[in-house]
Amino acid sequence: MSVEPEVPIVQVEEVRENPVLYKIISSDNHVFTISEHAVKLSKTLWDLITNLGLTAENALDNPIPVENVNGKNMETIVQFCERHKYDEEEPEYTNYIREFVLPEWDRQLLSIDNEELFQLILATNYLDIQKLMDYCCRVIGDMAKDKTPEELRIIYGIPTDAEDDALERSASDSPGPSG
Amino acid sequence: MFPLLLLDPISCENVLNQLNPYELFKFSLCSKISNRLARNVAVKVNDFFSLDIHLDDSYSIGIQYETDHVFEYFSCRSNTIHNMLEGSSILSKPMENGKLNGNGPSMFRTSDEKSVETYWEDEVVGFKLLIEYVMNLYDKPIDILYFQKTDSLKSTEILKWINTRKGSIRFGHVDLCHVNSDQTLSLILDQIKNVNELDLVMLPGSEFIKNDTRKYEFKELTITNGYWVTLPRLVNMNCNILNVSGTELTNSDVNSFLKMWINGGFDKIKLMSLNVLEVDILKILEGIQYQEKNNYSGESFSVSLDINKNDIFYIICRTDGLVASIYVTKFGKHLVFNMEVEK
Repeated sequence: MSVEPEVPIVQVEEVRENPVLYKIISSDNHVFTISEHAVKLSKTLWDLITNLGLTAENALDNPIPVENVNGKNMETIVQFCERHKYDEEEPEYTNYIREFVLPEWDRQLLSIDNEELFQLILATNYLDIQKLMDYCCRVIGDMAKDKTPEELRIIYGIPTDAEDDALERSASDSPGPSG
Repeated sequence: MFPLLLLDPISCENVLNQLNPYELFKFSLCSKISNRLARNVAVKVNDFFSLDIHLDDSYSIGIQYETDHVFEYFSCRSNTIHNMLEGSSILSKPMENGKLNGNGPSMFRTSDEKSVETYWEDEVVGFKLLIEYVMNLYDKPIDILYFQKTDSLKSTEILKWINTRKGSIRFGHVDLCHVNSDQTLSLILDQIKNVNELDLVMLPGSEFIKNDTRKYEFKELTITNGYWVTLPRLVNMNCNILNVSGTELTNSDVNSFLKMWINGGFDKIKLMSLNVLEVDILKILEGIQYQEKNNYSGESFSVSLDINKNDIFYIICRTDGLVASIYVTKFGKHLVFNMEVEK
């Protein structure tokens, strides 16, 4: 329903700016290069860079290891951050009921299976990238379109009340640490 | 399957924030856990929701909400299981079982047209549970009541129950033209006392007009077809705003009312508008001290009507010093007597 945000053309500016680049190493030892503007979208990475005192001069010589994120997810994250690095800041969330449509480029980037999406969210959460988190959640939210409660229950893996009760009973029946 | 419940609570809430209110409502129906999650999200945006109850030939509760640019709406209706069997071919979505957060048993069907049909052994009992469910989900009282052409006794029972819940109804449109019995009329009127702004239409018989002595105390009361608003009844109407059309009140009745006001009666009244049989302002003001003014300053009054500044205003004063402006306006072919009390 809402207007798709305009994606700025970044390449020209990047050449002009001669940006500072950082190296990131994923948990499975893949190395990624990311620009300063892009890495700033991740609060975790930017805090790390700041705390390590990395500068334009020494950034590329000091790759940042990110042990909680594998290469596949990191690749998506770097692509996303580079794409959105010059986006205007989102207006503060006001608890207003808003409906936005995911831009096509992002929809394609996030057209992955549910297991991959789940892992990407964990990574996004760890790296604290709010915009990517919002977009991933939008993808998951879109799964609810025109679904009945029973379909939603299956799509989101919600146990029935009976299943929950059974789980609770078995948990209370099982011996505790001392038993 | 996407394992939503395995996400951390903030991410999970973020996902649910992406659902529109109808999707979130359907999500709440999945299980007790999903209900709790949906509630956490819904209560944070409940300023943008309003709940309305429709008691007519069926019983439904509507949820209106405001998105970026429009108002949207979905409703949940209570039916008997008997209705379900009759109308089963109409709805395409499959029937589901649910307990409405433990308040069941019920069966329901959702549709893409933003409506939820629920089915119960007893539709009144079911509707009460449905109202409870929706009020709990949004943590909101009922905002608006629509009451018309309904089974009076069943609907009165529902109203009685609503009155036991927290909060009062902000606005009520109550049409009692279909109610023939004075006793039923009384029963219903007893149950709408907690409505703040009431729009009332009824056609009571002569016995009711003669015998009813109830107080009509609302923040705002609008009565159409008010032939039954006689002077004794007008005296029992102590509202902030009172609009009555179609009265058979005489100039002398209004004169008596004004004299009672001057002597300290009707302390709540801020604005009154009466469609009187024939308005003769001099007869209305007979025996009352007043000051005639041509220029009206609406700012000093609590509620202002859109009136012509060249009209004549009659300023009257109470024994305690409170001032009111009296003036006559035209409504169609009729003249309307107005009174506004100073702030």
